This record gives sequence, C-alpha cells and structure tokens, in this order.
Amino acid sequence: MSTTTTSPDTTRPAPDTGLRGPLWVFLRLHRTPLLLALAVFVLGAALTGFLRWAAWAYPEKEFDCSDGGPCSDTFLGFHSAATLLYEYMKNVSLAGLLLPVLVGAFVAGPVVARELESGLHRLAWTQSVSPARWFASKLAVCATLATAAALTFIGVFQLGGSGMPGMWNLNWPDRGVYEATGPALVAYCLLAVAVGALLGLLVRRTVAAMAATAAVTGAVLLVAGTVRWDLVPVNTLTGPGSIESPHPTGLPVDVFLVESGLQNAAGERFFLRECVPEPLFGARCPSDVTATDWFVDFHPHAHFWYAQLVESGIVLALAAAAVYAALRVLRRRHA
Amino acid sequence: MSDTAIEAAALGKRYGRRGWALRACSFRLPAGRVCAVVGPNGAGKSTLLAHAAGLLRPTEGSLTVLGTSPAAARDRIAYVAQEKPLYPQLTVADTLRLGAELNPARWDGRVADRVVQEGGLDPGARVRTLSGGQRTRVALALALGKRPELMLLDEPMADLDPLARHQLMGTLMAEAVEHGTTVVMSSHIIGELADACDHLLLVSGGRVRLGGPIDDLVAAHTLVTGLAPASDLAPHTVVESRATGRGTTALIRHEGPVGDGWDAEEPSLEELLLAHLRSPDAPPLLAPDTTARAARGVAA
Amino acid sequence: MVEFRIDRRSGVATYLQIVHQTKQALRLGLLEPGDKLPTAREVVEATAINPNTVLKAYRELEREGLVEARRGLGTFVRRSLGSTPADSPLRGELVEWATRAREAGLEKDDVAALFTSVLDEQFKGDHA
Repeated sequence: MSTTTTSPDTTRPAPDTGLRGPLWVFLRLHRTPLLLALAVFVLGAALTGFLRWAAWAYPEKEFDCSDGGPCSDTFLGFHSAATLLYEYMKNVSLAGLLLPVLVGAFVAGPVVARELESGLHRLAWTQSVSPARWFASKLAVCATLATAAALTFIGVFQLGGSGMPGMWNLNWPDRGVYEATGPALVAYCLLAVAVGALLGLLVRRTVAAMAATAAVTGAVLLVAGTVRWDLVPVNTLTGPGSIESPHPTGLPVDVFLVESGLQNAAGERFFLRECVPEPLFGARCPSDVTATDWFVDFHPHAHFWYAQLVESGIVLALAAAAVYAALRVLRRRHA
Repeated sequence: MSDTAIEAAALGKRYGRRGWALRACSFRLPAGRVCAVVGPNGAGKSTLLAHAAGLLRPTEGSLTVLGTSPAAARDRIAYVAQEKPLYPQLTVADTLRLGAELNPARWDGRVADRVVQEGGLDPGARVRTLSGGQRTRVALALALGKRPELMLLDEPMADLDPLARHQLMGTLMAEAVEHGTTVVMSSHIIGELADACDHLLLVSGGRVRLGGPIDDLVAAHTLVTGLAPASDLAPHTVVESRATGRGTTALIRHEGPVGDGWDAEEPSLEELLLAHLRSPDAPPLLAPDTTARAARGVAA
Repeated sequence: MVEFRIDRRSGVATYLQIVHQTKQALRLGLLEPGDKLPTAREVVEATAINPNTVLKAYRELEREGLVEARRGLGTFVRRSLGSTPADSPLRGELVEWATRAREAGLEKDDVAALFTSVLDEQFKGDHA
C-alpha cells in the first residue's frame, strides 16, 4: 500500500490558538459570522472615532454671508462635522436596539436550530461530549461573546456620544440612548442568547427560530421601552413659574420631564391652554382654575441608574428562566 | 469491560401519531461481534441504532450499552447516522480536528488520517464539496478515530462504490479484530454485509424476528421439499410453506431429524431472511445467549 | 506470504475457502514449515471478511495439525502436505493415463467426471 504521508498530520491541534475542545469547535463552526461581526464592530469603532475627531478638528465656522455666499462651511454635505456626528449617533443608538435582536437570531438559528434541523446533532451528540455539555458550552461562549459585544457597543457609543447628551437631543432616557449607555444592553443581549437557545430547541427550524427569537426579543425591548418610566415613581416639584418659563423655578437641568402644568389651591392639576383661559371641549378641568403654583413631574438623572439596575435584574431573571426551560426541554427530549 | 455490547429489554419507541417504530424488542448482542441489522426500509433499524447511540429515549422498556446506559457509555460508542451528518462548512482536516477536540481521551488521529488518505481526499477540501461516498469515508474516519468499543453504523455502505466499500469494510474489520470492537451495521440488503458479519438481527415491523450468530441461525433451519402437505411437518415449526406442483416446499425450524419423504437442505442466509420477511407471523427466534437477560434495572 | 481470494459466488463457506487455499499453497510449496500465515488483521483488511471467519479457518488448520498458533507471534506452518512435485512418478503416470484417455476419444469433461468418480470411490468415508 502506497500511502504517501505528504499531507500534514491533520488532527494534531494547531499550537497557535491554544483553544481546545468545544470552544475550538464552536469558534471554528461559526468563524464566518463571528469574523463578520468583528469586522462590523472594528469598522463602526473606527468610523465613530473618526467622526468624533472630525467634530473636534473641524468646528463650525461662520462666514459673513451678506454678499450671498454660504454662511458656514459644510462638512461632507452636512452642515458641520458635529451635525454629521449627531445624525450618525442617532442611528447608532437605534442600532443598539438591533444588537440583542441580532444576537438572539444568531443563537436561535445558526447555533441551535440548524444543528437540529439538519440532523447534525447526531454527529455532535455522539462524540464524548454529552448533549447537555455541548449545549451549555455553546451557550457559555455565546453569552461571553454577547456580553463582549454589548460592552464594546457601549464603549463605542461613549466614544462618539459622551458629552453630547442634552445638547443634541440624545437624551439619557431616550429609547436607544438609554439602552446603549448602561448595563441594560448587556442584560438584553444575554436574554436574547437565552431566548434564542430556548426557541431554537423548541422550533427546530433555522429560519422560523430566528424569526421567532427576533420577534420575542424585539417585543420585550419595545414593551420595556414603553413602560420603563411608568414603573419608576416620578419626582414632583411645585412652585411659582411663568408663561415664559413654564416650570417651577429650581428644576435641575438634565432631567426627564414627564408632565408639567398648573395646580389650584386644592392641589388639583390642570393645563395651560386646556383649561385656561377657556376650558376646551372634553377637557377635564377642576371647577377652580385659579392657578396657585406650577408643578412638574420628572425623573432626575439619578433615576437612570435605578431604572437600569432594576430593569437589568428583571431581564436577567427572565434570561435565567429561559435557560432553565431550555435545559429542561433538552433533557426531556433526549436521553 | 462488559461481555454484552447491547441489551434491549422490552424496548419500545412510539413517534407521536406515526405509531410504534419499535415494540417489545428484547435481545442481547455479545461483545466482540460484527452484527448485521437487516430488515426492510422503515422496519425500525435506524430507531434501534439511535437508541443505542443515546440519541433517543425509549417510550417503554430499556436498553443498555456496554453494561451501562447509552449516555454513560457515550465516549466508548461511535455512531454514524444514515445521512452521514457532517458540518458542511468545515474542511476534511477540520472535521477530523473536531473529532480530536471532542474526544480528547480516545482520539487516534493516525487511523482517521489513513482512512481519509486512502480515499485520496484533499484535507483542505470543504465537506460541502464532497460526494456522498467521500462524505461516508470522512464520517467513518471520524468514527474510527474515536477508537470506540462499539461502532453503530446506519447503512454505512449505501453511498460507496464497490472499491471503496471493499476497502472501508476491510479497514473496519481490521480495526475490529485488533481492538475487539463490536460493530453493528444496518442494511436493507444483506448481500453487502453477509461476508463481514457473524451475527444477525432481523428487524421488521418494529420487532426483532431473528437474532444470533449467523451460522447458528442458518443451522437451525432446514429447507424441505416433499410430496406431503405442510401440515405433515409437525412437530417442526414451519416458517413458510409453498405448494409447488404436487408437493410442498417449506422452510422449517427442525425439532429433531426431518422425517422420511422430505428432501432436506440447508437454506442460504438470503433464503432464510426472505422466508421470514414473507411470513410476518412466524415466531421470532433468538439463539441461546442472545436473549435478553433479566432486566437489571439500569435506568434508561 | 499467501493471499486469500474469496469467491462470494462459489457457494463454498468462506472459512473453507481459506482452508482449501492454504492447503493448496502447502501442496504447491508456496508455504513451507516455519512460514507465517498472514495475521487475521491482514486477511480481513485485504478481503473485508469477518475476522471470526479467518480465526475459524486457522483453527481448522490447527486441528488438522498443519499450522500452530504461537502466542503473540502469529500462526506458523508446522508441516507441508503430501506434496506432489512436478516430476513425481505419480504425476507421470497420470499424464500417461490422460494421454491414453484423450486418444480413446474422451472429452475433457468426460475425463474429469471419470477421475472424480474414481476419486470419490477410493476416498469414500475420508474427511473432506
């Protein structure tokens, strides 16, 4: 038999990476999408850094435009480099909401469901690694990568947007900005991993599992964004104000205004233009519409961390429940 | 090391509305055998092998492998499913690396490399570009590299050309003789396995119809031709009888010598199997030492 | 080293084919006392037959005293078979007889049938 042994010994673990076992297998199997994601992050960070630098290096210059020329310089077609950065950051903040959705879809489809759909679990589960360990190791790697992705995203957002909030309508309680600036994003990414794993196991069809996970993750983000500030009790400030400055004086800056209006001596609330000077049809107004004070309901910036921590806790608890359910499903269906 | 490779006790598997794929299967496969699991398509062969591989949970009854539960014996079992599942995006070399990484305690890269090289496969080729036969070769390389005590191969030869079939069966037998590996291969064609196997499980309709060493099973049956009707063949068990002209041809399990007036012949293995497949009501036969021992209460 | 050829269509049990081919090799002098038979691994690797078939054939040869298994070393030829070298007197007589049969107008098949029937008569009762 003439077995030429010119080809290298294919099964000796290459000494380069130091990765072993299921970790190596996972990273090798999903090399392409992971490298793609890495490239997107690197590009995003580079672009953000560049725009931030440009906004600093090319401040807006005013010209005398009385002779009909432009009143200010433009930057790549935008009013200024800072405007471009602002527009860009607005989109980035929304991309932050997309991150958990993408993470969940990746875990549900390529990582979990595709293996079951194509019968590849019969290969993976009959090596020396048990289905539970294989599943757990995939989950662990995904959770680590998702956390890293979320933290990187938060870092990139800081790089582009720190110091901007307030000025640029990128306020701390805004949908997108809120998620991209605190631990909630990490929690949502971890929830996405757990939901993806559970739905991948249950649905067992790549595309359907991805769609279901994206829908569930997106729905959770949507609902949380809608109810978030209703669940945190507001602070209220009352005091004298004026039409020009329709707030009680002494309202701190950088707060999230929920509601503001007038109140009468009995403390009943009503709103300018709705009840005074003439009550509008259908408006609920107290009988006494003599304003004694202005009121404002608001969330001070301190509520940001309160909401972030409470929300992260709830989301992480949901994630833990999903992981537990996934392990139950795995154990019930397979020996 | 257990002297029993596989033992099933009243094993049954039901798939939802599709009904029972296996029912009341009881048998014992001693270790060190090369066993053919034969039967028509849909007989339950794949279900049986998947149970032994620990991929399915019995609906009823139990199945033990190498003296323990399939899950506990996972590292000592290699399984190649009928579709030869392999990750399409991996190269041949990376597929073998996967075997090394997921079976760190047992992996023997030399065997796996040799099997791949004998097929002239490029280690850098992606699995998705391989032909069916080449995929089978890689799947078998992965299974052999694991150095299992029990190999479960579902329709291993179906996609292979005659040369590859001969070569891989030779490699398989060589590994079996060197390491005492028990090999279980399923097929709906006995012809391709008859030379390689010494043990047989005939599965049809979700039941084990015949089980035991091939020589013993063949020797337990006689093909008789005579002028008398089949009813004269008592006390022998008639598996199948046919009126031929004025007389009768029957396959029987003889109890003692066959009476005068009957021309007796030893059946071929193929005749034996076909007779049983044509007569689903014939009682099953398990050779001594291949019946399930009393259930020993190993949790399935 | 002998190489076994397995004919799947001959109808002869595989282990008997190995026994016969070994004996043939002994008769023809291809195997001599002290020679090593191929290991079971080598045989099954080349022929893709069941290992137990090879072991069964070797046991049969051992039972007939033709070979012996030495533990850990392999299976070795113990003695040669009543060889009939090309120049033996018996062969000469057979050549003469065959020539006469041909001259008498017998076909090859007739000669073979005649030879086999005499063989069967003379060796009746002997073990195959």
